[in-house]
Amino acid sequence: MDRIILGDNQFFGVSHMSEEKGMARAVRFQNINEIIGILDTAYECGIHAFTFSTHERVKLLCDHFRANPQKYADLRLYPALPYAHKYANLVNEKGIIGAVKDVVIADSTAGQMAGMMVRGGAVLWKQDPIEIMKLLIDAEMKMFRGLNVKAIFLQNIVTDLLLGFGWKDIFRSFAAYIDKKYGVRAGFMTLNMPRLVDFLLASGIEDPIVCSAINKVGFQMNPDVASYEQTLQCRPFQAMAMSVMAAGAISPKVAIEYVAGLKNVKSILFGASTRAHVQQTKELLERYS
Amino acid sequence: MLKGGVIGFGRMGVTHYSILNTHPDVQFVAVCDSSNFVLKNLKRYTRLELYTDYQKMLNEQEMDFVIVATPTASHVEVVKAAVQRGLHMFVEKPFSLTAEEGKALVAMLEGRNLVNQVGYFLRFNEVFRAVRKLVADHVIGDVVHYKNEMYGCTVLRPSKSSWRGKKEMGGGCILDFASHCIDFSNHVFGMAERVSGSILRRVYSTDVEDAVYAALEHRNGTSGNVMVNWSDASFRRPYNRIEILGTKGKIVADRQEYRLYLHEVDNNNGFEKGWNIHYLPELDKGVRFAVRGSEFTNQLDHFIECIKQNKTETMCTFADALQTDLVIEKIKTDFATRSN
Repeated sequence: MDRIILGDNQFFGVSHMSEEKGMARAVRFQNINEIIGILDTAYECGIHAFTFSTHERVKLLCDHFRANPQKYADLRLYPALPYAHKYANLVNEKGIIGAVKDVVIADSTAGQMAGMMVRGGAVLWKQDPIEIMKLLIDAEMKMFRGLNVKAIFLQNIVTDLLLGFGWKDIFRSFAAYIDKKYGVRAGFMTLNMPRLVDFLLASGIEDPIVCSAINKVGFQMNPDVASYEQTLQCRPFQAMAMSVMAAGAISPKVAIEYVAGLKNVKSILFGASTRAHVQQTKELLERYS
Repeated sequence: MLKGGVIGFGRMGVTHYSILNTHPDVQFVAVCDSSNFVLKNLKRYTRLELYTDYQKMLNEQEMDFVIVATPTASHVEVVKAAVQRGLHMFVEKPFSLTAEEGKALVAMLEGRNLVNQVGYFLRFNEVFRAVRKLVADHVIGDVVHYKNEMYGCTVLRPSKSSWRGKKEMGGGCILDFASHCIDFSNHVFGMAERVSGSILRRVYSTDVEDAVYAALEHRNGTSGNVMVNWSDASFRRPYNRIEILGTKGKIVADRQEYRLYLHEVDNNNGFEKGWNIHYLPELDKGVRFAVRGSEFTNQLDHFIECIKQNKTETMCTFADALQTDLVIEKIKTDFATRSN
């Protein structure tokens, strides 16, 4: 696990602070070269690790990385899937099975498509959620082919929904499949870190990788800061901290000082949308880490 | 321990199930759905009793409450059966397809001690809650006019397969999207009494409207525009925004922040003259378990709390949601009258 990782929310119109700010960024990063510029700044100052959602524009970034293997020789990626909004609209339109078919078929060559359809047909006929999950993982992971992937994360919307269901099998199967097929560890993003850590440990997933908001003000930390601090103190897991600045509610210095001082925080995932911000955050992270 | 069931295990049904399945005082015992896929997998992974017939489920199961998250067109018959069984009910929005049916349901509650709530979750969003309080506390003086908007990219091509695209199932932008804005307007300003200038416009759908524009007038002369469109590809996900002009200032808010402009300093409430900006990170408090956002947990925990305290006046009762249905009906009538 890398200590410092750059996230991609800011490139795709997500701002936890302000919808309008998110939109303004979406306008700016419409030009893929603007995104590449920020990634290059990060890469040049030593941040070689990135998390990416499976947003359709990430494909373009992956194409760019593959086209410049020398330049990105030490690239390390932490994909997070699925891209939930895509599914929400598809499921509305076509139902669960129709949506799965669409996703599986998209971005395939004719040969791949035939293979996926045979496998997909069998899976859908059996209606086994674990098999469907595997199919979707493979469909979403296609864009990262040939790139150095270090861990694969399940997005919080799915993690938390399944956590509420309490289906240990699905979590175990996800972790096992990621390990078997991609040779890396599975990670889990969540809005409920203490509950998830306990649940994963109880499911037999040892030393799990869990990514959640960790900040002084408790933003997106359920149920509260104290439970997070206690879990970090007492439970054997690898924490990846995000939203450390609570979407801008805390100054960078105070935010990083706090998170760097917490036991068990292995990685810090941050978002930055200007070159100056990338450099400033990186310096702060190094000073306090 | 309160025993519960879910009728309709679609997108909202699963979310509600997940959130309440972690509630220390709740135990789900049964689920009813028409999807083979859903039933097969619930059978595989849970000990729930499963049904395709909600009547049968209501007859056979000992329950305290039900979550009704079926397509809108079936709310009336399901709720009627649940009332007769004496169950507390949380029903997804919008409440009913026609206000007449809604009225009959509200009348049925008379004399029965049943907790009843409808899922207008904006009422439980911390920013929108704060906005309502600012208006109620007269921080911006008397309200002159507001603009209540919701946009999204839910329908970007003609599609008939989804129930959201079918009129008889309760599809359409006015029921699915605009109901949120109308409900919040009613919640803040009191039920709209007059409706004018209504436009229901199709963009891609063939059977239902994709956009809704209307002017609402509330008591004390407050007026506002509701502007809603679910066929706008520039929005990544559903987006709500409200702008309220008052005699002493103005509020501009979305689900993540509010900006308050005041003509004069307000020492009582701690606001400066000019712009005051407050973001969700400072307003939002942690919840015991969150899926998607804390507003969904807040509304369900409120429902359970009301059952525990035997309090039938929830934050969003059937009677409240009926008012939204009544305004929806007025908008439809207004549009139809002018179109003829």
